[in-house]
Parts: sequence; structure tokens; C-alpha cells
Amino acid sequence: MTGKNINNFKVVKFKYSKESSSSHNLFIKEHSLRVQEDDKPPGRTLFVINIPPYITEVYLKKLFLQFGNVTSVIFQEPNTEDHKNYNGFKKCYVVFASRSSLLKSLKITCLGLEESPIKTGLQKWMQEYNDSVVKPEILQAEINSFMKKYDKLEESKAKNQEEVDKEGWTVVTKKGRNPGLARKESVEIKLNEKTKISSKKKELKNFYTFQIRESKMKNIVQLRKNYEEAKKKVALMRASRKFKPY
Amino acid sequence: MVLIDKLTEMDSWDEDSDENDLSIEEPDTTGKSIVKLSTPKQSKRKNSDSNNTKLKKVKYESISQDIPKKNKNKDDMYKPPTVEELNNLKETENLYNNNLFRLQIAELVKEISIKSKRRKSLNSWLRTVNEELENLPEFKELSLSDIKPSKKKSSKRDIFINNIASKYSCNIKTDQNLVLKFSKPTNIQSFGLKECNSYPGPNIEASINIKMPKLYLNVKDFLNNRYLVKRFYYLIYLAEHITGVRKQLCYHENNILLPVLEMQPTKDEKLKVKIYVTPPEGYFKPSRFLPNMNNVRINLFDKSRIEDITVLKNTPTILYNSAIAHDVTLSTYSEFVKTVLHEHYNVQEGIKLLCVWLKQRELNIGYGAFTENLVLYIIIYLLVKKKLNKLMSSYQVVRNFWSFVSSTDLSKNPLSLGNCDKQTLELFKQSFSIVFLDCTGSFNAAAFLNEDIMKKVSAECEMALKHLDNPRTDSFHSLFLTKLSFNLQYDVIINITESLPLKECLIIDDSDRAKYVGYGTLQNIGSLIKVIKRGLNKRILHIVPRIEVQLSEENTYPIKKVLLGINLNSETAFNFIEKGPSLSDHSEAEKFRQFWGYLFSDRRFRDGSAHVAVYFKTNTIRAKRNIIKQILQFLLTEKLQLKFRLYYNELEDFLINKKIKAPYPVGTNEEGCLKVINLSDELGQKIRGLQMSLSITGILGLSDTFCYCNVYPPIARDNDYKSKNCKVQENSIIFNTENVDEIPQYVQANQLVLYLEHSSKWPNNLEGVRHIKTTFLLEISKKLSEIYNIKSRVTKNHLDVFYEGLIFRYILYVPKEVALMKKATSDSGVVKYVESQNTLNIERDLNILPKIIGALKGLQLQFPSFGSGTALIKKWLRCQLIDEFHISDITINLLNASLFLHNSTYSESCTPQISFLRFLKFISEFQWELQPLVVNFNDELSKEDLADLESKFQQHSDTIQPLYIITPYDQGASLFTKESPTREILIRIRQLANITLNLMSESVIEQKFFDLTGFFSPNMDGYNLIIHLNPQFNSRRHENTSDLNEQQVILEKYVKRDIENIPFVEFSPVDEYLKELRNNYRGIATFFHNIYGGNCIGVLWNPPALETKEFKVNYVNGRKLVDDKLVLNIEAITEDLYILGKDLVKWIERTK
Repeated sequence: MTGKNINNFKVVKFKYSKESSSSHNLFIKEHSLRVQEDDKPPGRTLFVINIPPYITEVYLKKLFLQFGNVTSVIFQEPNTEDHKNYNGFKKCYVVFASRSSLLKSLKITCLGLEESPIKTGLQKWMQEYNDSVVKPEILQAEINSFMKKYDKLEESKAKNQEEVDKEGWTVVTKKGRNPGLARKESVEIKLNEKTKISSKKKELKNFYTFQIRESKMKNIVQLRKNYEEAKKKVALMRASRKFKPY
Repeated sequence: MVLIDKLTEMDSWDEDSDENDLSIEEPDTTGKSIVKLSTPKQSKRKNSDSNNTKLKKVKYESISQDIPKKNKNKDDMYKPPTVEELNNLKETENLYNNNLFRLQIAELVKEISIKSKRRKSLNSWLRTVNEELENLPEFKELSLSDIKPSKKKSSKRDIFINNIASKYSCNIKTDQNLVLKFSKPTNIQSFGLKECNSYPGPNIEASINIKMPKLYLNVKDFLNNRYLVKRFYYLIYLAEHITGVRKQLCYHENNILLPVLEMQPTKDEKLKVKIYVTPPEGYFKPSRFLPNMNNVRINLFDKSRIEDITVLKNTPTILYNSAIAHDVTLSTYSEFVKTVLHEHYNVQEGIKLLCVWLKQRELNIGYGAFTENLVLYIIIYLLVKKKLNKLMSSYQVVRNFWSFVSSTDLSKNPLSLGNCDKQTLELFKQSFSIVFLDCTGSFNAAAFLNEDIMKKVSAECEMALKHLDNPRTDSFHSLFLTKLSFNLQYDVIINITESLPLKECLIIDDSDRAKYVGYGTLQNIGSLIKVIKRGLNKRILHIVPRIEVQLSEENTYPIKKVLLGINLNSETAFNFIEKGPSLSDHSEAEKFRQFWGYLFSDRRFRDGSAHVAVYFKTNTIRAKRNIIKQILQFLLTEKLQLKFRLYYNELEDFLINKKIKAPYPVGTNEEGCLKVINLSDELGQKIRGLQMSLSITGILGLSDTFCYCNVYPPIARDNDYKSKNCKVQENSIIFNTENVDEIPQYVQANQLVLYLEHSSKWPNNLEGVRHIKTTFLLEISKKLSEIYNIKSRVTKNHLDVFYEGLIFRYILYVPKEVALMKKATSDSGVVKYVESQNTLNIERDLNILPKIIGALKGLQLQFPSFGSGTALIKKWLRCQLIDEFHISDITINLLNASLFLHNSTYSESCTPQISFLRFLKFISEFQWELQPLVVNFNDELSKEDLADLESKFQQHSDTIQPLYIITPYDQGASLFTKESPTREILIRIRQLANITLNLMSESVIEQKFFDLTGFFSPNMDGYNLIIHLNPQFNSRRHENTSDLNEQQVILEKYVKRDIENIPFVEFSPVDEYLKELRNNYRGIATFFHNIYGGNCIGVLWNPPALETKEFKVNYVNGRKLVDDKLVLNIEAITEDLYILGKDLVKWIERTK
């Protein structure tokens, strides 16, 4: 059996473990893109799609070991935009150590491991629960090491912020006698609003007759708008047969 | 006020814009007279090119010139208003509530208008009847004793007699062998609501008054039922000779002495005619029927066993008199009504609206009800007294009616249409509790009206007024379009139909019996109500009887059904002590003792006084609610030996977890929540007292438990969990081996959020902030252990404290963290703060949620049934497999809160059960497509805010989430319904609610019996797959009420030990499983599960996933290749479900 091909993809039946009675279809092909990426070297990379959600890197490495050494397994970041139709099936790139392994792997029609190296179900959840219980000392140590790094970083940053640079420019900071404005969007918006308000204040509203007339017209328009809105609502209600009292 | 201001502005604008020096006469609906306007200045400035002949056009033309024409649509808005339009707009603001209300009234009136087709067919039928009546055969010299079945069928007369005898039997007795001289009637006349154009269609019920010929009657016929018997036979005489599709005798307004003939003249089932038979005008003197006259001298009613006949002879027979007076005055009164209402079209419309309003509340059903005729009477009264007039809009008519009824104590103020003297009025007042004297001054239209029903109506009017003043848009809907069935209106419903005919329950003396002669059966019910009223005393607001009467030939007992609806007074209903009279008041005290039998006891109270009292021992809130049931059982079963059905608190049973025995008294969820809240306050004080580097400024609850809405609040208990499956590590119990045989019971953590004082020293780095947060939690943990020896555990995000047998989970909220997450720098170097899903979620869960939980807690204090009612809703929904993923707990809380805050359709819900039923009603009718739901806590959002938000909703209603909830705390963003519920789920909930509610209503009204557990167990039909779980790995299995296999667990009281271990917290494999399923397969299938211990998961393939697709990388997921096409790989995915739920899944059932 040579297996089926479609759109350059080869269809491979995948069995999770020896107890499995049914199989997923994996679709594999040699990875080829015009834009080359360092972590996915051409000629050695296998592109696999439709991988069941629970399959991990460890599992895949073990799975593809039969064809030769696997350098790395890279999962593609799932596209989470389509929230509603999201599913957890994965795409991944398997990078082999040699091209011959890749070619070997492309001939296969059936894949699967005798015994799965990953934990699922109850055992997994119990493991996760156990892992969530951490000794406070360990937590503290982790924090301390991070803070040390962070402090160093801050220090070096502070050193870099010299007040006058080599060419004689002074960096305006928030501190000092004459602090500049923070470059924030909110600050800009506030400034814009301020100017708007001040220009409005200068404007005379009830000076010309046309202004008065306009404002009255506006009133009528508002009333009309309300009326139209109400009419729309009632039409909607009528459409859903809401006026039958009994 | 705002509206009025606008209008006055508009008026003054008229002045300005009127450029030609002209005066305008404009009759105004509001009654403003002539407006003279002139502005010479303007006319000078503008050229007078617009001096058209039409005055009004000139007036506005200049405006249209001023405004630039941008597009057609806008132009429409800015075109000069016509006078009609202006008037219309003004009228709407002045005479109606608002635009929407006016339009809705117009729609409703259209809906209830009577079709001309139907009207025509009625008229043509009336013409034929007129002819038939002209040609009625005459039967002279027929006496009562002649009426018996005979075999003679030779003459028309014989056939007639035979027909009467075989078809009808008169259950009214009289003293003489009356002679009946049947001949054609003297007069026929239409009357009633339909005749006055005030009958709410689309069905017609016309009333016809047929006057008996003088010859048929005798002057003394008003005595001893003679008239009633003659009237009865005349009705039969008519019934036998008028053509119609269906004919039957029934009672006028369920009044057992006033039978009428109800006909369906044509095949049209929506057309009905009621035929009344009355004496000719002026035949009987109306004064004969005043309430001081006696007209029955022989005991003719076997139901009223009067021992002393002389008593009867000397007592005025007030109800008997009223029944005949009704007939005597009928034509005069209806003529009067007709003339008063003539050409009052708006008033007629108002009456229609009121009738619809009344019908929806079902207060017009049964004997003693507040009928449409009484509505009519009050409207006529208001017209006569000039409180209504022709120019008022129907809205104003309705409003005036409500405000009159709600503000007038009708039991103290007798009404009269004519100019009757004070003496007569006083006479009526003494005999009747409510007096609506008609224009003749001899008939009280409210003679049969039940005082309690009147009270209820008056309360309803008050509520309706409140509704009108509420700016919410759907007030019209709840006033006129929502049907409020009997079982939704009352907290308690008692059905005593089973014990009919009612035995005499109280000793009634002869004079009382004589007074109400003819209505003895109903009097019995009245006295039963009195007993209940006395027993429940101040606990109730209203007790409304619904007595349905049926005329049937075989059964002489006319009452078919008796329901009593009770509205409780939430403040006093559940008092555990019924305080009687003081001991020193011997006679009263003795009466009290007799009434309460073995329940009473003499007690000394704290203020030193000694009273007789009844004390009910209770230890839970549920038990307190049960007091009502206890009292009713004592009164009805033990005292009166009646059989009855009570609909009150049956559903509360489903909130009780019988499989877990708590160490302290627990009823429904209130006690558990209270315990948690108290302990959390205690612990909170301790934590706030700790000397920390930053002081803690606030601790607020996040869990449902803190607003009493949790169905099964965690129980404080001893946690000495020992099992071979577990071991201890650092104060925490964790799993020992991989192969366990059972999972410990679920322990829910009570989540709280900690707020810290402001500090500028937080690092400017997200990771840094997070690490410092953890340090802070570690600090609390350490200090708690050092100072109080309270065990706790820290993870990166939260702190779990084990305190007094409960787990409290504290999460730290640092605004800086959110700010850092939002922070982004644009290309130009400007710092922006961008909202993302994550930041929104943190804000929502840690900043907004606690505010809402706090507000809900306040609501619980105000309305004690809120929390348990919400819990009941939750339990029901979850049992229908709709879980947190489909509609979140907080959404349910808010939905129910809106009912308590804003829905004034009902009086306050006093029990969880009624609150649940009303929720079902609400959710089955709520138009989430059309309007947002407003939950305005403490009225924090102003009218303007709400209008703004609602119009925003209207504009974007296509793009935003289906259910939109506006609260004061999230700036109207409806954060809690962003992801769920979906349209499909809302429709599903609507259907479920509808069915459940209908079944409940049927069980009350039709007395059908069915098993309530059906409501709280899921229907597993219709799912593609059913995943069956191993119960031993379901940590919440004890919460399942429908599974009876599980053994009861007895929890021990918490004891403080030196060495304590933190139990398993929030460990639920089923939840984890569902989370994984939904994370990975939510695009392919939808999952349904009952969180309260459900052992099955329903799986439904999503229709798009089942589609066959061409091969494309985007479509391969979860599919397999068959004939070069992609189809869903159902077998493999089913196996995935096994793999993901290894050990937890028992087996997967594939359904067809």
C-alpha cells in the first residue's frame, strides 16, 4: 500500500497507542517555503498537520525517532482569533538530523506508538494538582533570583540615563526642576480636550438669531429622532408578534 | 420637566420665526388659547418673498433655507414641521408617557379591535332573533307542577314541556305552584361593554337584555324566589326557540342566583352572546330591594339551615335583594352608561385597555371578582364627577383610573352615580363593605364584590402607577401584554377543591345566614377565609379567593373550584412568635387559646409583659418559611379537618443536600453562606491587622457564596482526611500514588480579592510586579502562621488559607499590573494603553465583580428570598445540563437581581419558589433581541445614562452579544455576557422555562399531579454522544439529587488541631475534563453537563463541523480523507474523548 496523496500532502493513519481501535488522519509533507527560517532548515523538515490536541513534543519526538534522530519539534502557534470555531488540533514541524530520515518518514502510511509516554486523564490532573503545591522556600528563591536580575537591570538603565549626552543634548525627564510632559496617549487626549473647551468658551452661542433658530430646530429634530426610534422599536415588536394580549 | 421645557422653547420659537407680522390662531390640545405673535424686526431684515397664501408654510420656510442640504435623509429630519406634526409631538409629550408608549397603545388597540366581518355577522343574527322573538309561540296556563316528562307528543306544548323537563332542572325552589304564561317579550335591547364600543376584542361577547311581558309576572313575584323561578323558565323558553349553534345556561359573573343564556350564534367560535332576562321597566318598585328589606320568608335554601324562621322573616335579605335589583335596574343603568360614554372615544379606548390589564391579572374570574362591569362603573363615576373628560387621551383615562382606585379607600367611601340622599347611602354602607351605587340609587354594583379582591385590585393599581412612572421601556409590556396566571401572583396557593362541598366550618348564627340567604355555600367559604386570615394574621398582605361556579344539571352544588392565593408580608411573614392578647385580658386570651388549641403557651416577654402566644421552634431560615405551612396545616387539617393542596415551598427540597450532613443546622443555602461570610469577616480582620509593608485597604468577596447565591455553599467541617491514596507534603495533602480508587469530596475555595494601599514603588516591569505580588502573599502566609497558627499555602497567583474548616482563597489586585499589561508604545513613541482580552478579564474579575457581589449581598438583605431563589434557578438550569460555560453564575445572579430591583409587575417575592417561577416567566418572555437588561443597583445610573446606553444598544444590536446587561459598574459594557450565553443557549433556556412553567401552572390550576423531580433531572435525548463517568472519580457526586445510590456523608464539626493539613482544594476531575474538552474541541462539538454531581456529559456535534469539505489546510482539523473529501472523523474523536478522560470515562454511548 502506497497510501493516498492529496495536494502534495501524504495521508498517514495515526494510532495513539496499541489499544486504539480507530485512527486520525495525519497529513504530512516536506516543509518548503521560499522564506527560509533557521530553525526549520530545508530538506530536513517535515510538516505535519491535524495532530490531536493531547499530543506533546515528547510524544512526537518518540514517534519520529524510528526514522532517525529528531533535532527538534516545533509547534505552530494556533490562530486564536476565531474564538467560536477554535479547536485544539495542532500543526508542527519535525526537524530531523538528516535528510534520509525525512525521506524515510515520507514513505510511511501508518504511524503510532505501542505505549504512550504522556499522561492523560485522571493521572494528569492528579499530577498537576501535586505540582501546584510548592514549598514556600522554593517560591521565595525563585523570586529572589528574579529580583536580583531585575535590580541589576534597573541599575544599568539608570547609569545609561545621563542628563547631558555626548553631543550636548539634555534629556528631558519627568524628574528635575522643569519636568516635561509624559508622552502618553491619555495626556495628549486631555490636552486636545482642553483646547477644545477653551475655544468653545470663547464662542458666543446665543448671539445671532440663526443660532437660536438652529438650536430650536435641533430640538425638533431630537423629538423626531426619538419618535423614529420608538417607531422602529414598535415595528420590531410587531414583527415578533408581541402585541397579542392573549 | 425636561420635556415641558423643550415644548415651551418650541412655543417661543414660533414667535421668532414668524417673520410676517401676522397673528396665528392655533387651538391647542393642552387648552392654550390663541397665540398672538409678531416680530417686526425680522420682517424688516428678510425680504418678504415668502408671503404665500398658506400661512403655516410661510412660518417655517426660512428655516429650511438656513440648513444646508447634505443628503436626503438628513433633509427629512430637518424639514419644517407641519402643524399636525407639531401638535402630535406636543401631544405625545403632554398626554402620553412617551413616544413608545403611545405607539404601543396604538398597536394594542389595533390588535383588540373587533373585525367588521364579525360585527356584521352579529348584527345579521340579531335581526333574525328579532324576527324569531316576534313569532314566538305562546303557551298559556302552564303551571310548575305540569313540568314533568310525559309521553304525549301531540301538541307543540307537550313537546315544549317534555323538553324542559328532560333537559333542565331548576335548582331554585319557591313557595307556590306558579303559573307560567309564556308569550313574546316586550322589548329587546343590546347593552354592555360591546354596545358602548369598549369591549376588548378580537372576540366579541355581546349582551342582550330581553324584557319579559307583564302578563308573565305578578306584582308579588319578588317574594320567596318566585321571580327567580319564573326568570329561569323564561330563559329556557327563549333557549328553546332561538337559533344558535351552541347554547348553554351559565351564571352572570359566577352569581348563582343570576343564570343567563350563553349562545354561540354562528359557527364563528369567537362570537358569543349572553342573553339576560329582566322584568319590564317600572314593574317592581326599586325601593323593594333596598338593603333593609326582607323578601324571603320561608326557608327555601337547604344549604342554609336556619333554625328560627322568625329570624329569617325579620332580617333583610341583602344579597337576594341585590340579585333581583340587578335585573330591575339593568336597562335604566345601561341606558345611562351608554349616554355618558357617547362619543367619548378616548374613554372607550381607555376602558378597553383597562379590561386587558384586568384580564391579564385574572382578577375578573370567579364569584366576587372585580369584573369588567366594575371597571366600567368606576370610569362612569369618574366621568360623572368630572374627573375624566372627553379630551383626555386613553393613557390619561387609564392613569386616572389607577390613581383613583389606588388612592381611594373604597371600603370607607361609598360611591354613588345619582344624587341619592345620604340616608340611603348610609343604609348601603352598613350592609355592604364596598358600595358602588348606581344611578337609580337602589342597586349596589359592588354587592357581590369580595373585599379582599378589591384590596388586591387597589394594590395592583398602585403597582401599575409605579410602573408608569418608571422610565424603563417595557412598562407597557408588563402592564398589558404579560399574562400573570394565578400561580405566579401569589406566594402561597391553597386549593380546597378536594374538600368540596364544604362542611360548615364555623358556627354562623341564624341572622347572618338569613342576611346572605341564597348564597349559603359561598358564605361557608367566606368563613373559612376568615379562619385563615385570623391564623395568619399580620403575616399576609392579601388573601384572594378564586371561586369558580358552574351551572350543571346533575349536581346541585354549584362550586367547581376554590383556590386561595396569598401574598405574604415579607417583614412579618416568618415571625417565629405569634403574640396574642395580654394575659390580663381574660376573655380575649381565652379566645386566643381556643383558636390555637394545643399550640399556645403563656409567655413573658422581654419588656416584662405577659401574653398568650404561639411559639414556633425554628433553627433555619427554611424552617421559618415553613411556619406558614405549619399554621395552615394546623388550621385546615387539624382544626377544620379539610383536605387541601398547598403550593408553597415544595421546590425548596431540591436545594437541600440530603447526602451531606453538616455539623450545624442547614436548611436551604442561607445558613451555609452566612457561616462562610462570618468566618471570612473574622479572618479578614486578622489579615488586616497584620503589620505588612503595604497596608491592606480592602477585602472583598468574589464567590457566589458572598451574595447568598451559591447552591451548595462550602461547609465548615473537620478535615482529618486519611486515605491510602494520599500523603502529606508541607501542610498540604497531595496524592500518593497514580492508581487511586476514589477521589476525595470536592472542597470549594471561597475566593476573595485583596486591595492594597497605593504605592509608587511597584517596579516598572510586569514580571517584577507579579513576583512582588507573590512575595506579598508569602509574607501574609508566614505571619498568619506565626501569629495565629493558621495554615496557608501560596501559589504564584493566590493564597489559600485554611481557617475554621473552610478554605479562603485570596487574590491580590494591583492596578499597576493591569496598566503594565495594557501599556504599548506606538511608532511615534507615544505611550498608549490598549485593552486586551486578558486585561479586561482581570479588571472584570477582580475590580468589577466584587462590586457587583457586594451590591447583590445588599439586595439579599433587602429581599431575603433573592439568594435562595437564585440558587433554585441555578440548580434548575444546571440540572438541565446548562453549565457555567453556557451561562455563567454571575449572569444568572444579575438576571434574577433585575427582577427584584425593577420588575414591579408583582408584589415582592417572599419565597424562593415564587421567585423561581417568576424568573421562568421572565426568561421565557424576555426579548433579549430587542432590548438590554438593566440592573441598576441603587439607581446609580441616571435616567440620561440609561437612555444613552440603551440607544447605543439599539444602534449596535446586530454586532454585540445576544444578552446585554447594563450595570452601573462596568460603564455599560456588559462584560459578563461577552462570551456566553449564545443565542442558541438563550433559546434553549426560553424553551425549557416555558415547558417547566406550563407544567407548574397546570399542576396548580388543573390539579394535575406529577413528579417534581422531573424538573431537576436532565433529559438525555437528542445528544450525539453521552459520556458516562465513573462516579467514584467525580468529586461532586454528593451534590447529585437524582442519583439515589450514593450514601450519606456525615461531616464532623471542625476542631482546631496542632498539626493541620490543608485538604484538596477545588480538585474536580470532571471540571478539568470539561475544560480540556472545551479548549480543544469547542469548534467541533458542544458539551453539556450538570455541575452538581452529574455523571454524564452530553455531546452534540456542531453542524458546521459535520459538513463535508474540499481539502484545504484550514479544514483538516479533526477530519479524515474519504474519496478526496474531508469528513469529520467521528470514531477517532470519540476515542480522543476516552484518551483525554482516561480513568474518568466509564463508557461512551453513541445515540442515533
